[in-house]
Amino acid sequence: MKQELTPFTDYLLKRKETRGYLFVPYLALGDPDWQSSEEIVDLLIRSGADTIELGLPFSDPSADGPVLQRAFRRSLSHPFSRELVFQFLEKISRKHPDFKFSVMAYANLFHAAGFDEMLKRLYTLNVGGVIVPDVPLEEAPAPAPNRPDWIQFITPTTRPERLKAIVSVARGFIYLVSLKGTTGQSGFTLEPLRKTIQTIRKQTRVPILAGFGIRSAAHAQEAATVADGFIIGSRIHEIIEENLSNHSIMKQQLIEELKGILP
Amino acid sequence: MAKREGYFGEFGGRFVSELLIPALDKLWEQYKKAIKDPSYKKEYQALLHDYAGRPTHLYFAANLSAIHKARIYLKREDTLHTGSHKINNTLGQALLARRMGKKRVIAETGAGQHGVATATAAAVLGLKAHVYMGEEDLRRQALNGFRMRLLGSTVEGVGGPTGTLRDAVNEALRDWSRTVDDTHYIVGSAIGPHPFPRIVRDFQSVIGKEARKQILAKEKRLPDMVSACVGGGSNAIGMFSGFVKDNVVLLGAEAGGRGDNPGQHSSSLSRGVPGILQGARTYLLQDSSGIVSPVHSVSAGLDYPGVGPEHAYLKSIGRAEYVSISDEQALEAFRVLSEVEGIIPALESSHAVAAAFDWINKARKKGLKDPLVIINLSGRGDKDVAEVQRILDGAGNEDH
Ligand SMILES: Cc1ncc(COP(=O)(O)O)c(C=O)c1O
Repeated sequence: MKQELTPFTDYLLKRKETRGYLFVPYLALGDPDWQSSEEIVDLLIRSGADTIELGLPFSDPSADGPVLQRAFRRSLSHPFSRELVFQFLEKISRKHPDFKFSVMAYANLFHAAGFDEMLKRLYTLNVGGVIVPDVPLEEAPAPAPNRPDWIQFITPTTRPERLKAIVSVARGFIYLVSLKGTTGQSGFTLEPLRKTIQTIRKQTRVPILAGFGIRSAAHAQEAATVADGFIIGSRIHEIIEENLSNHSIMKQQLIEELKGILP
Repeated sequence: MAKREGYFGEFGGRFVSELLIPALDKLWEQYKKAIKDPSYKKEYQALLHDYAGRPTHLYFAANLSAIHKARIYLKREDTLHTGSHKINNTLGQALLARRMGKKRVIAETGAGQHGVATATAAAVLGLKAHVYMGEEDLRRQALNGFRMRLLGSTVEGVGGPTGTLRDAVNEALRDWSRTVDDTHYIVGSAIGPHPFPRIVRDFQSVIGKEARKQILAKEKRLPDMVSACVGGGSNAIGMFSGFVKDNVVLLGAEAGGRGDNPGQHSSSLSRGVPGILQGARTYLLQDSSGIVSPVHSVSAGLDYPGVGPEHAYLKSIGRAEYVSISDEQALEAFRVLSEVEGIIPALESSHAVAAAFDWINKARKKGLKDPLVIINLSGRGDKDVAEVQRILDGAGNEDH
């Protein structure tokens, strides 16, 4: 099996060698404010994040559950603009020049900027991959040099034909949606997806990251062994939400929670 | 540009989670089969005729016509069972759901008319229904909330105190991504990912088909103009589809609300720019970063920041005209139609009435004599009476 790997895939595969799995926290930017986001990014990198999925707030997050909806609502309760996002990314990419970030945004934020304009700009800001939950395979832009990898999704409803087509264009990592539903849902298990994972593995070396519903050490352990790692989001924003009145306790809690969860 | 499936020109598409793609594929496949199946067609036609009350009349509004020096016809979708055009679509989709072996249907609703029509179709076809409705809309249209429960459905308020139609669509999409195996999402307007805009248009096209036949029978000629209100755009696209190939002006009336500022109206086509929301690329009210704007209309059914992609297309090629009608104009048309013709229209439909008055006025000034127009009366105003009373009593037309 010969496959050209993108620099971002390479980066992830190398990082995976250290611990044997990849850890990708999700952070909705601006929750509860930009300063906290910056501090939390630092903290997540210190806690061992391999990339961070930075979520750009959107008014209509139809793939997100209640926790991440509230996170976006807090983000949008103060001024938000694309320029502020770029300024933020400039700052953190200067601070962490060897780290590759990922950006999650609903399609309209890309559309408003112009898909390619946005991708070009993000690429210059250490963004290795972009995750757009409301853009399925057919609507994705064609890959181009000097752009972040467009991350593809595989879900429990993806049938074999489609799976093959998705995996054949997968770059960066594959986002394995662990369950039918939205982010933050309970009942995480990869058991029903074991075969899917095997099928993907036969076709590609692009790492498989499980997401949706990961909130405990047991979940993380399962994802680290059955897949190549995991994305954890709602649990992080629950802790942010529970500690809005005290940011230093918030950060302490985040550190401890991640210590408890990481295999 | 090559014609892409699921697109109207550059508008439409399937901008949803990968999770939902197989269900959309299956729906499109099953729909194409169903509409060729004589037993499906027969059952749908029988329901439309015997249960919903089709065909609806094309009524010559003599008093209005005299006032406006025009020949004004009203397409009486307001006389349908459940009180609006929404039943044309829900019966079609509920039958489709049953055919696909789905046990449960969900719906979003703004004014509650689509929710009631879904609950009704589910009741008669033996399906379970769950309806999402914005909390602000549940307040404005409390009776419709209760009506759905009477019909055996469950209703869930969403989006917090300011929740409206867009919140209901988001929540229905979330539900569907969890329950897609046994649930069909009966999208209530010509919006959402392909194939919904196409399916809903087809089910509503009966409006335009009938109206065209009826006007030819009565007037021996086509109208100069047809008007309809545009929320998501289903009653309008249903009416327009009957006349799109003719030399007839297609006039869509959007909600102009309280003024031009963001948050004060929901005129996506007249004042928005293209974007991507809830499954489709279409005209949207949004800021320069792509955050979708809050919207307002006195009528809950038009209170939506997007619009069906086929309307975006008709606008982009200049085939249809879209105008913005203020709350005040709509309320005035509501009053006039009630007093002059004895017909209390839905606040949504009142926008189409007001737009037609404006158009007739301008057309006559340009020298068109006795303009012949059809206004689509998409629904009746019973649901709005309490809210209009509240506004007229001076409570004001504010958001809560
Ligand atoms: C009577 C009536 N007309 C129009 C609408 C707007 O929907 P659409 O634009 O899809 O016809 C509604 C929606 O609730 C309605 O109840």
